[in-house]
This record gives sequence, C-alpha cells and structure tokens, in this order.
Amino acid sequence: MAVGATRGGIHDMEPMSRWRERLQQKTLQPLLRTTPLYKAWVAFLLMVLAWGGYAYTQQWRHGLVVTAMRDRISWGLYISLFVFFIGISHAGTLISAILRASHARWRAPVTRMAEFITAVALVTGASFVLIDMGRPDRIFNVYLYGRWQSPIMWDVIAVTTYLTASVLYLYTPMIPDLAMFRDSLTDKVGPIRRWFYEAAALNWVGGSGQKKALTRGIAVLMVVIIPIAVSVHTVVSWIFGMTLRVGWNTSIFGVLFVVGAIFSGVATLVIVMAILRRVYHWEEYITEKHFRYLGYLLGAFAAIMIYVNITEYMTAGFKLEEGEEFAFRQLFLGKFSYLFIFYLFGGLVVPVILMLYRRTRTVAGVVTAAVLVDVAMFVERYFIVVTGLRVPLMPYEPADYFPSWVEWSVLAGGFAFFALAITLAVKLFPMLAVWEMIEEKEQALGEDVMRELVRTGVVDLENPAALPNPRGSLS
Amino acid sequence: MKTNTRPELRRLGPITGLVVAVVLLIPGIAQAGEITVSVGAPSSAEVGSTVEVTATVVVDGRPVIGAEVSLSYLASFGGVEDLAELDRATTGDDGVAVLSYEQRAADNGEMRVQYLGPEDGPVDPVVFGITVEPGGVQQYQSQVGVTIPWLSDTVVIGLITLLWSVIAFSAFQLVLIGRRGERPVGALVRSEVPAAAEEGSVWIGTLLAFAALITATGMVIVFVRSPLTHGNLSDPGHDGRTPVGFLGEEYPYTGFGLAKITDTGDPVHDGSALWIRAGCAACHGLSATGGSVGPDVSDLESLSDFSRDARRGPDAMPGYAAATLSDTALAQIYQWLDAGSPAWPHP
Repeated sequence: MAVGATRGGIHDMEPMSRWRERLQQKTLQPLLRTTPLYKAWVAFLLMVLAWGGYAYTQQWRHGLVVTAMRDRISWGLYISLFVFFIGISHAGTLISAILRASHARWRAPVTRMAEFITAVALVTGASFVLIDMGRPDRIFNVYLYGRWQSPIMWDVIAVTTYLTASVLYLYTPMIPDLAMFRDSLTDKVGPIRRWFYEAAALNWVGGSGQKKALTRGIAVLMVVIIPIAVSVHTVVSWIFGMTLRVGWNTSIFGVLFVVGAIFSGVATLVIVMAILRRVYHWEEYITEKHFRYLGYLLGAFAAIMIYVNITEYMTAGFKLEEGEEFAFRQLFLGKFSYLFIFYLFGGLVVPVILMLYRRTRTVAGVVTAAVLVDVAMFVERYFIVVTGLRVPLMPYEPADYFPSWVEWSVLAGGFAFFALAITLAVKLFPMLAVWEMIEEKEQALGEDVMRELVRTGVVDLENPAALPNPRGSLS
Repeated sequence: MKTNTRPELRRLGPITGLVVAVVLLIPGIAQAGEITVSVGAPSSAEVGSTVEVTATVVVDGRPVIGAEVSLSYLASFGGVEDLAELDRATTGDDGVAVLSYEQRAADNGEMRVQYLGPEDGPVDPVVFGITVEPGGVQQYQSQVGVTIPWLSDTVVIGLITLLWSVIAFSAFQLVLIGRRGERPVGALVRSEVPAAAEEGSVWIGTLLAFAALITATGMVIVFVRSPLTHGNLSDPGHDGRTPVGFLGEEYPYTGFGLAKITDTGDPVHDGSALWIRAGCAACHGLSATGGSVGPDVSDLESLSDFSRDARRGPDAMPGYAAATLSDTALAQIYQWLDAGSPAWPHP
C-alpha cells in the first residue's frame, strides 16, 4: 500500500515490519538482479561514450578547428551543454533542500534521485568547460593566475563550492541506507562491494549520538546549499551578462538562468524518476501523486519563465537600442525563429496547459511536459549562446555557426556519460531514501493511530494530560 | 501675381534698380570715413577657462558706438566645416565690444570677428588664432573604476571563508558519525564487522572532511593572492581602464612605438628600436624573454652566437641577411640584450 493509502484506517493495514522489509527488498533489487536489457543499455551507452571520446581525440589532435567555432562565434554547443547541465543540477537542490527545509512530506522517495542528478550533472557540465578549451592543460592557470575580478573565476569558485556541498549533501543522508545495504548484502555481494559498504556506512548503527550528528549535518547543509545553488546559476549567467554583448546585456539574466535551471532540473528529475519507476517497479513508492506534485512545480516554473521572458524582451525590445534590432530579428523572424517559437510554445506554454487540466495531469502527461521542457531548455541555452555572439560588433557580415560532427558526437558522449553514471549508480547506491521513507511512514502511522484513538474515545483531546505518546507506543 | 507689362520692360526692372543703388551708394562711401575693426585677444587659452576677446570699431579715429560684432570659429565636425558663432556684442561709448566664450574645444582653428552693422563696414572678418593649452577643468569624465570603501576583496574572502566553514562543519559531522559507531543501539542492527573495516570507516569520513577543508583553503588562497598573480602582464596598481586623457594634453609614450630613430648614437637605445623594427619582438616578446613562438633570448652567451643565429635562423626562425640587418645593427641589438633589454620611451 502506498503511504497515502494508510489513511483508510489502521485495521486494514499490513504490519509495519512487513512494509519495511518489502521496501528494503525493492531498494536492494536493482543490485541483486542484472537483466540482459540492463547490460544492453550499458553497452549502448559505452558505445556512444566511446564514439564521443573518439571525436574528442580528433579535437585533441587537430585543435578546435574541427569544431564549427571560429573567431566571431567562439562559443557553441559545448558551452550550451555546460549551461544546460549546470541547470539540471538544480534538481537536487530544489527537491531535496527546499522540500526538506519546508518539511514537505511527500519528498522522501524522490530526494535521492534528485541528489544523484545534481552530482552527476555537475560533473558532466563542468567537464564541458574543459572540452571547450583548445588547451585543456591551461585549466590550472585558473588556480595559478586566477583573478577574482574575472567572472570565470567566480564560476570556478561557485561550481567547486556547489559540487563539494552537493556531494556531501548526497552522501550524508545516504549513510543509514548504506548501513542497511551493508547489513543486508553481507553474503550477497563480492568482497570489494562489501568493503565499500563497510567503509561508506561510517560505522552507522543508528545510535542517538550518530543520529544527532546526521541530523545536524543534513540541517546545516540543506540551508547552506540553497544560496549556493542560486549563486551558481547566477554566476553562470554573469559569464554572459558581464560581457559587452547586445543579447546578454540584461539585468534579469541571473533570474532567468536560476528559474530556467530549476525548471529543467525538475523536468529531468521527472524523466529519471519515470524510467527507474518503470524499470524497477517502484510504483508503490513513487506514486502518481509525486508526478502530479512535480507537475505543479513544472507548470508554476513554466509560468514564471513566461513572465521573465516577457519582461526581458519587452524592456530590450521597447527601447531597441542599436544591435538589439538584429538580435530580435534573428530570434523572432530570422534564422533562429523556429527554435525560439518552439521554446516559447512547446517548452513554456504547452507544459502550463498540460498541467492545467486534470485529464493531462497524469504520469504520462507530466512526463510529456518534462521531455518538452528539457528539449526546450536545451534549445534556449543554445540560442542564448549563439545568437548573442552572432550580433555583429562592427559592420561586418554576421557569422554563421552550425555544430560540426565532432561537436555533435561529443554532445552525444556527454549525454551518454550522464545516463551511464545514473545507470551505474543504481547498481551501487540506494536510490530510494529508505530511512526517510520509514520515518515518514511512522509519522503518518502515528497520526493515524492518534486519530483512531480519538475516534474510539481512548484519548480525550479536551484533557491533554491523559495523552499517551503516539511515537512511544509504536517503537 | 500676373502683370500685363511687356517682357522687354520687365527685363529692364533689375537693371534700373542696380543703377539707382550705385548712384545712391557713391555719395555714402564718399561721405563717411572707412570703418575699421581691430581685435584684442590673448595668444593662448587654457581649456576650461573663459576667454575675452575685444573688438574695437573706429571710423576716422573716432569710436563707433552701437556697432554690432560677432565672434566665431571655423568648426569642423564629421567632415563638414562651417562657422560656429561663439558670441555677439555691441560696442560701447569707447567703441569697444567685449566678446567672451568658454574654451571647450582642443583646437579652435581659425577664429574671426565679423562686423555686422548697423552702418556699412568691412565685409571681410578679422582673422586671428588662439592657441589652446591643456587645462584642468573638464566636463565630467568617468574615473578609472569606482572604489567603494566598505566593499573590498576582504569582504568577499570573508564570505567565502564563512560559507566553506559551514560546509566543513557539515563534513566533520561525518567524522562524528564514524566515531560514535561503537555503541550498537538503535533501529538497524549491525552484523559482525571486522575491526579493519571499522578503522576504514572513520578514515573515509575524516578524508571527506579534510578534502572539503583543503578545497576551502585553496579557494581562499586563490582569492587572497589573485591581485598579484598577473603581475607579469600588468602592474597590479592599475588594473583598471586606460587613464583619462585631457583635451590637448600630451602623454609621453612609454612603450615601444614604431621606432623611427635607430641612429641616436646610444647603441642600447638603437638596439631596442631595431628589435622592434626588424620584427624580433613579434616572436620573442618586447623584452626578449620569449613569446608564444620564440624562445627566451634575453641572456645569450656572446655576440658571435647571437650573430650566427640571427643570420642562419635556427628552426622556424627566418635568417636575417646583412642587407636587412647589418653587423652594426646586430651588435646594437646585442648590446641592448646585454644591457638587460630595458624598455625605452619611443616617440
């Protein structure tokens, strides 16, 4: 029975111990059984990754000339992908930190996935900065000769801070579940994995001292990670905003990027959630309610995106300063209009409409909206980067850019890396936050018991002195 | 309006008018003496100062009262040249009119005072010039950066340190969790754990915590030392914009210009100019310490080594024939290199 279904009454409920056992079994299931489909999927991803790797060796050997990036349009698909993946990484922050801080009960089954998406997307995104460099060995110059006056430096610091904090934030709440793995998998996995769980579980036995430290760690992290995440995407927007370029010369860029990041992050979470739920039959834990709630978030953020876009294009378009006319023409009427129109309608308006109607607020509807949003957000990152650079600074013919095969291949490799990391994480880590789900269930159960006691007259709410402790009576 | 006059009569009109005018003018010119205008103006004016120009109008040595004069200069903008009027004045009892203007332009070009009337006077203006000196008073110009006293890198470093302290605090909770693992109470019952693994567990938490701490320290170090790290490119003292130049002011150029003078007699000076002119600097850098293509050649062993390499052109370097660079020129360049390749102000 799903968490919500326990509200029917406590008599037709299964015992807590049996529910907990099944949850643990379901969480362990991906580790114990490897289907041929899984192997085929991993093989496919490895092949795409290898192809992307081959394309990158071409770039390594011949230089950036194998890409379509030239002097006038010097950023392209790679930087778009960097922005996109850093954006996706906001999934973990929002779902996990904000919902945890606001004590949203339904969050427990989805937090772990969200946190994994954050960590993996950050690593993928950051690596695309390296890939974009003609001389990747010069990355160390950031540390050797870095100047804090440079927005690039701000970005390095923000992303490093965010990565450290999110890895900690992923790991800390996972410790009790890793301990559960350690205890349940002793004789079912090989010595390496056994050692890994032993080490990673940090001697977790669930003592009060440990619980206190765990709670403290999570509480501090969830608060501190929210401003960090906001700062990360603001700084990413400043990489553009601090440059003297027509399309990027707007103060709302930080807001646009942060909102867009959370927007695409939620969409990615929905997609990953839907796939894992389907593959590992977690329908009992990840219910339609979770999709619906995330759908509300998606719809709300689509509306905010529409608003931010209108303010941005209204203020710039009304004044239409020099160069702005070119930027507008290429976005609304010219070369990029089909991408832009798709983004506006397919990525922003359609998701809002899908989430407005009960009939389309289903799992399928939310997933459809999420796919649309993710595609549209990638398209948005692409045209922000390319159209901004395309506006001529001097009276020359506007340059053209279309990614070369190397760039497309490395892009495919990047997506394959992201998918592969999530796929492999499923085999090693608890993808459901088991202990949090148990806690949530116990809390709900306590309330049910309480309600039942009040209903049957055992407890008199008018006389609180006689109130028994519902948690104590259960554990 | 239509008239019925015959065409030949109409043609007669302007001719009659001209004749009448000439007849009337002859006694006028004969009657009055010639009006003359003389101008008193400073030879130079400082930018930003108010300049007074006096125009004295006399006729037969007597001042003309109430004569109107104008002061203008030949302005040029966007390829169009025209007179721009600066001031207009009427002569007083002494026949002197005071014209004034504020010196804004860096160069006034040709200035002129024109007699305007009421009597007929000289048609040609009095042309003169005022040299413009650079001055201190300018219209508002933006400065090199805005320094806000309380907003400094210390604040930024402080914020980053604070943020990373919080992260490190959370990371050390992992150490606590690992250390408190010896008391087996609670919901999840432990199976038998080998002692070695127990040590490993504390170790992994400590490692993570220290990794966070070290990254934090690294961030702060990068920030703290950053203003000096580009000392090789520019003086950290002015990492702002190009300094403001005042109109008409001359700035001594301290870099390597298109050196024309290569025979000043000072071999070190001439060598530095030749270094630019022969194109050496393009590969080896302005101070010969090496560029993206050429290696550091600032401390060569001897003149003979230097001459041999310059003539031959090792690796990708082009060889310099004696027609391009004479032996004397090579010696001069060598002397400049030997002197530590100092930078010279080139005009």
